[in-house]
Formats: sequence, structure tokens, C-alpha cells
Amino acid sequence: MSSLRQFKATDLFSFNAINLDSLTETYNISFYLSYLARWPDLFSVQCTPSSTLMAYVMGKAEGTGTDWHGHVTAITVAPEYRRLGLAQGMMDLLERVSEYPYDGYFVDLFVRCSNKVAIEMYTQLGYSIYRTVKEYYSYETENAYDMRKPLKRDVDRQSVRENGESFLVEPHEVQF
Amino acid sequence: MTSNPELDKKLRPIYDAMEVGNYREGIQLCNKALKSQPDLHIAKALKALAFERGGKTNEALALCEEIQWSKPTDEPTLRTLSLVLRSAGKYEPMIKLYENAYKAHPKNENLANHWFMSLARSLDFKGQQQVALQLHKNFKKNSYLFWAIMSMTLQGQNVSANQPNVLYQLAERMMAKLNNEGKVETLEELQLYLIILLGQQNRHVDALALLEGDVGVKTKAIENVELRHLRIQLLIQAERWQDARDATVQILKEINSDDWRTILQYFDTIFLPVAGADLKTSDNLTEARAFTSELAKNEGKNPKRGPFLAQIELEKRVQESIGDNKDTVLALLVAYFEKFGSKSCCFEDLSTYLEGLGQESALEFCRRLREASGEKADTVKEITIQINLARFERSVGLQAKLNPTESMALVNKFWKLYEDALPLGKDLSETERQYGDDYAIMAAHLLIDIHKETKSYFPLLNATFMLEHALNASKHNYQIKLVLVRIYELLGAFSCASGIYNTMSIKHIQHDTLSHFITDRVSSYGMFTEALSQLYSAHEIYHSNESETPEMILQAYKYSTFSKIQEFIEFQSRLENSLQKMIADREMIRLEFLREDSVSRAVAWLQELQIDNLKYDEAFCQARVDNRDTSVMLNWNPKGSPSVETLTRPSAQLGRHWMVLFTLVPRILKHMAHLAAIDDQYEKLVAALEALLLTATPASTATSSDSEPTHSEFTAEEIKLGKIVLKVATTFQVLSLAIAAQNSGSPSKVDPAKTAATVKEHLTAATALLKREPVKSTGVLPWGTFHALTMTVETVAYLNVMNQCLQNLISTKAHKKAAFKATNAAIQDFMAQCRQTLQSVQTDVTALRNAVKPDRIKNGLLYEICDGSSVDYVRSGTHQAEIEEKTLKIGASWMSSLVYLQQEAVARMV
Repeated sequence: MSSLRQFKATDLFSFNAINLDSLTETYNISFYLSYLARWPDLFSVQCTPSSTLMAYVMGKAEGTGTDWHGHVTAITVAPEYRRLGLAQGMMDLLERVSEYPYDGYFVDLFVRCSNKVAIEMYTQLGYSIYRTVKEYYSYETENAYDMRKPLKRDVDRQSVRENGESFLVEPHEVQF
Repeated sequence: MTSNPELDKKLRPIYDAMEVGNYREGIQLCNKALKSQPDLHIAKALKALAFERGGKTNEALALCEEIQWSKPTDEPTLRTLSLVLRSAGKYEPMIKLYENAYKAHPKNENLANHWFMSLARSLDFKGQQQVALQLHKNFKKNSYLFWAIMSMTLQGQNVSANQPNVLYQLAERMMAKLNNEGKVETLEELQLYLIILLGQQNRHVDALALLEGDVGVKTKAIENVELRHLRIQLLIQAERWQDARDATVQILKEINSDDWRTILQYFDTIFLPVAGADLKTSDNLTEARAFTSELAKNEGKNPKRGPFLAQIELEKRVQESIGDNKDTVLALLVAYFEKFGSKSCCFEDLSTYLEGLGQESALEFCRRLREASGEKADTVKEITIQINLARFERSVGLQAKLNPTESMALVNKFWKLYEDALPLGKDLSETERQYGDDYAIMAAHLLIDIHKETKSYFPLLNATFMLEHALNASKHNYQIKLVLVRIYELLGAFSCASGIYNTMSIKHIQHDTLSHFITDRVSSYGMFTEALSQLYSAHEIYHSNESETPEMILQAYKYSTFSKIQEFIEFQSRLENSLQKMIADREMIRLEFLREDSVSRAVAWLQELQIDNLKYDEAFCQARVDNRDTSVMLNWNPKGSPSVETLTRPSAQLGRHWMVLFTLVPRILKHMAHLAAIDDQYEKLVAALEALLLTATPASTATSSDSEPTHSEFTAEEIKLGKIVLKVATTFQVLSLAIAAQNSGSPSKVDPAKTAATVKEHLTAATALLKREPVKSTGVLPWGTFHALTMTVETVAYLNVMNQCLQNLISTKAHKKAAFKATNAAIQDFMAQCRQTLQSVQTDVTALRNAVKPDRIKNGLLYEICDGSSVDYVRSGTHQAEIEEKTLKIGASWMSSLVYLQQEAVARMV
């Protein structure tokens, strides 16, 4: 019972129930609008019937050659609305859009190695660890996993590999 | 950089200096370069940039103007100028500059693009259209035609719906031509076409044809979640019921069974075709029942809520149209609770349906749930179930029926449940909430109820102790923080409120929507410097809007994201015209005025005050947009009774009337500070103030049954302030006119004695309004105490200035000063009254300061809090140290307010 639709610039006025949560950072105007200006279909939101915003995902398309893919920049669910499958609905949409119109090979995301709940959720959604990025988060020593899910275009399943966690890369190597 | 290596070499050190933030050196290097080559525009532009970055905006702008005259056409200079002008919020000059440069270099596509963008920054849609067409003519790219079409659409969007829209028609013709040539190729181009069609009346059939036609198929439009939704909407409008129903069924079955807006569209296809017919015998109803129950059956182990709510929605509609269906709805609600009662959102899911059933059924619902769930709260799921149940019980009014003793018993029960839930969450990470947090919040809501009923502040004090304690285990629960901020404000403890508020990382756009929680009437706490710093940091969002949003609009053009351009413009406009922005602006003006603690400085400040933004006309007021978020705070109060957010406001919500009052006051004062002659402008200000006060009712006494149109955004003290200012403003008018008549020796000149009598009459009336009741210390110093004290200080601060102006009128304007001796004496008397008023404030504050000293708090307030308390949390003995610490903190907050207030009062005894 949630309406899954594209995020609108004016939704920024009413996303407080989500963004007041301490794990969700609030960025400046340009951050949100630059995503909307370029990838409006990769930024979507789940709303209640009374139009309260419950969750949103923002993504982009990037990479070259067989690295061309959809990337999940942020996904967040307000505390009251967790464990309802909202993230799954949004990821599902993001994957479909990454397939069409973007025609990507895979979808990827970065997650803290310590965030077991999230890693488990992404695994259930079909993501697997492709590599470990050393000290990905600035000012912190924590590593991140780069998790990927192949899309139809990746016929040879090049975006999946065994023991991805043991492939260590530096943060600068994951820039596109 | 330029394309000239020699010049690059010359400029390199300048860029280097700027890059590391060494603007002074940057300026010196520019000067050096200019010495040898005075017409080197880029050096001049870089110098302007260095000024701007170094905070010298005026110097920067002066230089820019100088460069503008010489009409530079090289890109580096223009780019640099654009940077300077943009950060100063000036967009217009670049339009001319780029136009000029492009005309000098008509083959330079880049310059032409800049010209278009400079127009787009200023939202000059007509100019954009013309330039885009030129761009297309000269450089032959289709994208420029779409820019032109978008620009036309933007011009056309404000034409009223029942008038022929020439611009839309023109845009449509261009679109149709492009489409016929197969040049509409992307989803965004298609969306622009749809915007144009749907912006005109009765064009849904054409829009549908477009979506389902070649271009729709080619772009796979219905794969897009918005266009898919739009198509179904259009099918419904076109009454193609079966197609619409098939489309919704397909989405719900194959893509997303939880998609509520599609579920609603499905119901449209069921109910709209048979509107007016007998629903009872309708096949549609049978079909819908079968379909929703099929959807529900298809849900597996982790069911989505959509299908089950769809069943409720369906039966609710049946109840609404044919009645006799309440039992079915009720049974479905109970079944839903059995399934999803352990989800936190269950309350929100069902509450609107419960309201629709009426009180009796709602009570029956609660009874059944209680019967099924009992009081079991041993697991995380059971706790959530119990919390949901308690929310329902509150929302149907069961808690409102309790007397204070019963409410207190429930507070204690909730607190025990909160504590019992803690062990289950001992392994939760620091960022998570405890499972029983809402018990603590609900206990606070009950304590707020008790406070409202008994007027005692002790329930609020107890609520802060419990909420602060709950924060120890859930460091980041913003719901606890929001209600805590408000309770501290009610308790007059500003430092405590801002302490909590500052931990919430409220920033950027949230400054517009949430800062009202801390900045509303923030001057009332007497801590002017802190109040100003809260306001200043919140105000940054409006500067960001000016500098960032236009660039984002340009991005949308750059990527041809036509579906977002109107949206970005709306976003920009809502921030630009934000009501909160203006309310905060007026509060800043009050505080900046109050910062000037001598009369002469205050007069000088008023003389400098810019009035361009101090608008108050009806059109301006109506154009303010209220972006404030008042719904984020948890609320389970019965529908129709005030929300917790409303109940915890220390005073009436600020709005347009309040904004007008604090626009008129400084404007009237400014006029007086200039000793300007009475003119239309001044008479309008005074008349507006009079009219505003005529309809004002203090918030506390306002009743909805009043037949006169009234507004109640003001406190009693604010109305008094307005009335006093009005009296003295009128005095100024009387005196000013009398002096002018006297000077001219005109036959209409007034007898000086009569002038003195009129002046005295007004000032006596002001004196009567100034009279105040002494403040009695009652253990707690609530918001109202501070508000009354600061408002008196503020009023006298205005009066000091106004009195000075009255005296100056006589001493500088009157030719025969002796004629106004009696008037002067009346003013002197009034000044003595002002002084006396401040003295009485000073006496009160001194007494209050004694009452809130730490040892007095310990032996007094703290003792009262603990002695014979009926609150288990307070009685338990294990929290004594915490309670003492928090009470002393509140006392310390009162003390700081009082200390500052006293300084402010003393500084104004003239």
C-alpha cells in the first residue's frame, strides 16, 4: 500500500520523516536536483495513501564499455516503515530502469562491511559481493563491499564472481 | 584558462593565488598585470572575483560594471564575470554581455549556448525562445528546437485555462511537425509533447493517441512508471474502462501488488462506469471482490500490505455508496490487524478507515483487538502490537475520557512497559530505536494532556525527565527530540530546547521546513545573540536557493530533461516565496534592532534599514507559501481534536498577520527616525497598523463563534505592543503636522496648548497600555513569563527611539520651540513612565534570579517535583541524580535568560 513513483523536486519539502533519521544525510539542493536533472527515472519514492513520504532511492547510470551500469547512490527508509519490503520495491524499479532505457550490464551499490542487515537484504535481492573497497568512507577506516547484480545484457555474467570479498581495491579505482 | 599560451603564463600566478584562497595576493597580481596592460579584461575580471571571494561584494560589482561598459567578448572574461555576478545574485547583466559577445562571434556556438543559459537563469522564457530559435537556425540541432518549445510552454503555462492559449498552440504545431518527421525520439521529448497537450483543455484523447502511437511504442513509454500511470489515467478519462482495468490488473499481478495508486485506478475502473447504477447487483463489484481476494491469496510468506488494504478500501466504498457494510469492514480491519499488527505502520494504515466507521464501531474494534491480544508484551512483535493497540485506544478517545489520576496511572503503566521492553533491545546498535520508545512518547502525550487540563507545569517537567532518560538508550530518536524541544519551550527553557534541536542535524532544505520549531518567537527568551545565530544559520538555505537552483534548471536544459523544468521552477519559487523565510526575516529585524542598545545607534540603524523587502501588501502576503512541516511529529490524538504539534506550541502559530505587524513597526519607526514629513506612505502605514489591530484577538481568548472576522496569531503582549506603537505613531503625526503649520504661520495652525493636550492624551493612553502586572515566581518560569518580560523591554526600546524622535522633531524642526514647551513636558513625562516600567521589569527579574539560583532550585522546585510524586519514574529512587541534573539544567537555562534580559533592560533605562 505504497505508491511507488518518481521523486519530485518539491518532495524535498516533505521528506523529513525519512531524513531526520540519523543514518540519512541531508545534502544541499544541488545534490538532489543534479540527480533529478540527469536521471529522473532512477530517483523514486514510496508514499503512503495520504502522501507521506516513506522511503526513497536515488541512482545514476555510469561507466564505459561493459562497465556501463546502474548505480545506487542512496536508499533509505523512514524508521516507521521498515521491514515492509519498500526497499525491495524500489530496487526492483531501479533495476528495471537500468535495463531500459539505460541498457546497463549490471546494478551496483556500496555497503559498509559491518552492515550485516543490509548485506543480507541485498543478497536476498540477488546481489553478490564483487570486490572490497578499502577505506571507502572518507574519515573512516571501514571497508565497503561493492555488490553487484547482473542484468540481462550481461550474458556472460561478468559482474558476478566467486569470493568477491577477497578482491581488494583502492577507493580511487572505483570511480567512473 | 585562455587559448593564448603567453597570456596563460601571465595569468597562471593569479589563478594559483586564487586557488589557495589568497585573494589579497590575487588582487595585487591583477593590479600588476593591469599596470602593463590596462585593457586586459580577464585580469580585471579576476580582480573582481578576488574581491567577491574575499567578501568585498561592492568593490567586485563596481569592477564588473566597469568591465561591462567595455563589452568584452572573450570567454574566459565572461565566464569569470558570470561567476562573480552569480554569487552576488545578479543575473541580468550577463544576458547583455553574452548577447553582445555572440553577436560579435556569430559562429561561436558555445557563446550562443551561454546566452541562452543566462536567460534561463533569469527565467526569461520569451528571450529563451528567441535565442533557442536562433541557435537552431544557425547550428541546425534539433535539441535547440526542443529548447524553444519548452520556452514557449513555460510562457504559456500561466494563461488561464478558459482562454485560447496561442503559445501552447504554437508549441504544439512545432511538436507535431517534428513528430511527423520522426524527430521526437526520447522519453523526455515525448513528455514535453504531453505537457503541451495536457496543458490544454480536453486533449486527453490526443495525449492517449500519442502515448499509444508510434512514438509511444518506439520509446517504450509505458515501461516508464510515470507514463504508465498517466496512460491509465487517460484511459479512465476516455472511459475505455476495460483497457484501463486490464492495464491495472497487469501491473498489480505481475509488477507490484503493493502499488496503491494503481489500486486506486483499478477501483476507478470498477466504480466510475456504474456510478448511479445499482452497485449491489453490479458484476463490477463481484469482479472487484474476486480480484482483490485473488491478489491477497497470492501474497506469500512476507505479504505486501496492498492487497489486504485494497479489500478494506473496496468494502469501505461499498459502505459509502450502499451502506449496511460496516460489519464487513470491521471484520476486515480486525483481520488486517491480526496480520500486520506487529508492523509499526499498522496504525496509520487503518486509522482513516476506522474514523470512517464511526465511534461505536471504532470502540468495538479496540475491544476486539484487546480481547485477542490481551496485555502480552514479551517479544518484539508483541510490543509493537501493544503499542499499536494503545495508539488506537488513544485515537478513538479512550484516553481523553480519563481524569488526571487515571491518566497518571496510565503514564506509569506505559513507563513500566517501556522499561520492560529495554532488555529486548540491548543488542541494538546505537543508531536504532528501542522497541518501546513509543511508550515513552505516549506517556509524554498523556502528561501534556494533564498539563493542559490542570495548568500545572509539573507534568511537563516529569515528561522531560522521562524523555531525556529514553534518549540515553535511543540516542537518535528524532520523535523523542521533537516533542522534547517543544516541552522545553513550554517550560521557558530555551538553552535546553536549542541543545536538543542542535543535535538533530537539521540542515539545508530542512531549515525552511523545520526551523520554525526553534525560531518561532525566539526573541522571547531574552537571549538575543543565540536567537540571531539560529535564525542566520537557517536563512542560508534561501541564499543556496538563489545560487544553486538556477544552475540546476540549466542542467535540466543541458540534459534535455524537460519533465523536470517546471518542477524545478516551482521548487525555486516555493523557497523564494516561503512564508517561513519572511517570518524569520522579520524576527531577525526585531533582534537586529534590539542589538543596538543605545538610542542613537538604534536611530542610525533604522535610518540604514532597507525597506525594499519590507512589504506588507495583500498581494505580497497571499503569495507567501507555507512550507513548514507540522505533520512530522507523532500524533495519535482523536481526529477533530488538536494534534500534539498544536498542543505543544508555546504560543499561536505565526502567519501573515504576524508578519505584517512586524513589518509595520520597523517601517513606522524608520519614518520617524528620519524625522520625515507626514506623507501618504506614513499615513498608509499607520492606517494599516490600525486596521490590523482592529481585527486582532489574542490567541488565548479567540473563539471560533465570533461573528466578526478576527485573526489570532498574536499574543496579548503583541497586541499591546502594536497598540502602543500606534498611539505614539499618531502622536508623531499630530506633532509633525502642528509644527509644520506653526512654521508656515498658516491660518490653520493649531493652538499649542491644544497640541500639547492631544499629545498628552495619546501618551497617557500609551502609558495605560504599558502598565504591567508584577511577575510572581511560581517555581516554574514558563514561556509566557519570558515573553511578557521581553516584550516589555522591546516595547520600551521602540518607545525610547520614538520619544527621541518626538523631541528631535521639536528641537530641529520647530521654528518657535517655545510654543511646544508643554508638549515637550508631556513627552518627558512619558519617558519617565517608560523608565519606571523598565525599573519594574528589573525588580521582577532580580527577584526571579534569586528564585532560580541552584540551591533554591534544589530546595524548592526539585523538592516539589519529588515530594509525594505520583510519577513512578520520579518515585523509583534510581533516577534521583538524573532528575536533579535535569532540573538544575532547566534552572540554569532560566538563569541565562534572566541574566541577558536584565542586561537588556538596564541598557534601555534612559
